[in-house]
Amino acid sequence: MNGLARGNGLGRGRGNELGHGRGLGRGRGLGRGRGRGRGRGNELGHGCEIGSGVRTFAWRGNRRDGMVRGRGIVSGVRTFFWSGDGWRCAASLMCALAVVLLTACEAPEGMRPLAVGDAAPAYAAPRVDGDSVAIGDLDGAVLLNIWATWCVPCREEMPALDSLHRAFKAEGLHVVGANIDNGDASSAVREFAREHNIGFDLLLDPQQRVVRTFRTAGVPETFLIDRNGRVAGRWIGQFDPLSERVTAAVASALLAEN
Amino acid sequence: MKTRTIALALLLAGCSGNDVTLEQTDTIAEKASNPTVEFGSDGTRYVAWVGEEDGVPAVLLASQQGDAFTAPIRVNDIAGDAAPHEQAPAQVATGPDNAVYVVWQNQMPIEGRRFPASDLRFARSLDGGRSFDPTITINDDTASGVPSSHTFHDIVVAKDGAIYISWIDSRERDRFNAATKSSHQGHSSAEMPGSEIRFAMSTDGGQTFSASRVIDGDVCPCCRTTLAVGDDGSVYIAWRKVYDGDVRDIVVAKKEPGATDFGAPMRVHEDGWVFPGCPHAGPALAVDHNGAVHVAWYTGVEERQGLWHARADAATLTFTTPQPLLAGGWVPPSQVKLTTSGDDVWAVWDDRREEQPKLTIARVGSGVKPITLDTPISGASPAIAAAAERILIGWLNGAQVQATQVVVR
Repeated sequence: MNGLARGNGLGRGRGNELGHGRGLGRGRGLGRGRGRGRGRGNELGHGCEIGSGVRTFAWRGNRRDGMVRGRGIVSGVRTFFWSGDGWRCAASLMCALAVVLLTACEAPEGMRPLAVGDAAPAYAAPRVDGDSVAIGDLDGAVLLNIWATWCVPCREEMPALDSLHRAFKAEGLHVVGANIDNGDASSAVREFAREHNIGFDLLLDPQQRVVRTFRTAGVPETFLIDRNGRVAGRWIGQFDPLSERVTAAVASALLAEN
Repeated sequence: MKTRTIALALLLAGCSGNDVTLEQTDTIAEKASNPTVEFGSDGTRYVAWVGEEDGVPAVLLASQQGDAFTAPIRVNDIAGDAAPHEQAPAQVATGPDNAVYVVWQNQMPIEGRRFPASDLRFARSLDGGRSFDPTITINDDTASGVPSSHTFHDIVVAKDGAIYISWIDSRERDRFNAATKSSHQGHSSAEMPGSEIRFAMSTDGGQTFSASRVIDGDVCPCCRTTLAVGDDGSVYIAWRKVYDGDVRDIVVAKKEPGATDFGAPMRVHEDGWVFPGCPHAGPALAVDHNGAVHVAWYTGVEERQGLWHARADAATLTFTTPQPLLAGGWVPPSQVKLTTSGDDVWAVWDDRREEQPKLTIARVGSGVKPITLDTPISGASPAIAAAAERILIGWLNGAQVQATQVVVR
């Protein structure tokens, strides 16, 4: 490190707070700073700063239990985390004067999009008619389609998904449609299923857990999971479920062996 | 109906030496959709949203001059003439002499059609939001006989009081569909017109609006449009355009002062996001006091998935290399908004990577003033506005409309 940067800051918190984040700074230099924190109550916190230069922070006050984790400076990028229960002091956020570039709050480690070959994550949601389906409990391969009633491409591909379901059902393919409409979409989903004679399972997921579980970016998106629970195919956006490429992938997923 | 459920005050010393105070959070409404916010010409804070009144959808407006927000009043004069939509919320703007303008979408189920039609509705208040004139329709095709979709709207007021409203319009596509259906002719998707961006303007304080004009075709049909005005009267619009190969990237077009139409769209960055689906993530736009045009947006392309910010000189609309706001690994479509305060541009966005989404507020100005306020605010779908040294932020937390204010000294 070289150079010199100084910063200081003041943080004050009160009440019950819950938060988290990351700080990411960029720059080179020898940092020196002062921080002062004061807090009451239960706090679980963290700061997310976009900045550059060098930042230091200090805690003062009583800490009963909790944990501080630091991740140092790596290649000019410094990331810090803290978390804890029963903190008595609040965050002191500082930002140095040495300024270089705006940088980002990074995603937590391991939060990359799912790829073919990854183990499919566990996921369960209630069917539109009430009982729950856990895709890991289904015997065979699974084609998980993530959709919404307001999504035109989703609705357009549904009839072909149903044809795929009917074509491969006897061989062990389970087509599952996870609906992510906000609120109670049960009547709209039932109406859609009736209108298009959809024969596969339609799940209701208004909290959109499937989006976070399968790390998707918009609807529709479709995952093929083989008999071993591995992601065997992924289609982002509208696709043709009856295309040769898709049906070949389905056939292969059904044949997968441990 | 205002409660203060979160007692929180942060005092932060920012990089530029400003003291930045995040005030208490107000809970303004229950059973609501995401709000928009604006300051009035006298400093009054306004929050608008689509909620419920007597069990039917209603456009509601609350205002605040002192400590407390007022009880919301209904903006629409016809009961039920409103529909909630995260990408197309009721948009509030303000004009001279305490004028308040609200534009929203309704929904009209059409027999035999999968999706309802929607009109853009508008009402103005000339008494600071205490009462509203009768609602008028902004889209100019209601007499065509073919119901269509007019939504994903925005509104902005120029310094001279001119009001601009933009939206995504499906009239050409729906006319095409109606014509081919009546003639019993099939058609390929290649023949079908895409959705258009249109705008209309009012130079009489919202009493009447011009006929709409097309800005562009081939637009992503489910991402909101966004407008901004410069101090010189230039009007800017940003949207997600569909390029060949279903690439959906953000563009900006400019309407010079006195011009009739917007110029050609300029691509903010070649993200190259191929997505034949519904991103539901429109861009954000602001013009700072130096005339620089700022854009923030989401891209889903996996090499750079997340929220980004870039700025351009107003004369060329050539954008700087994007800087990440929220990026790295998986980032789902997130909502970001921008506003201008003095020489600064402020951003607010939601981080939806965890079950409980959280908001981040940041200053992303033109120069070397990076600062992010860490805010332990739970919520999604934020809105932002600025006046003098104050930044007003509203958002949806569950089904509650909440708001707070950042004071910069």
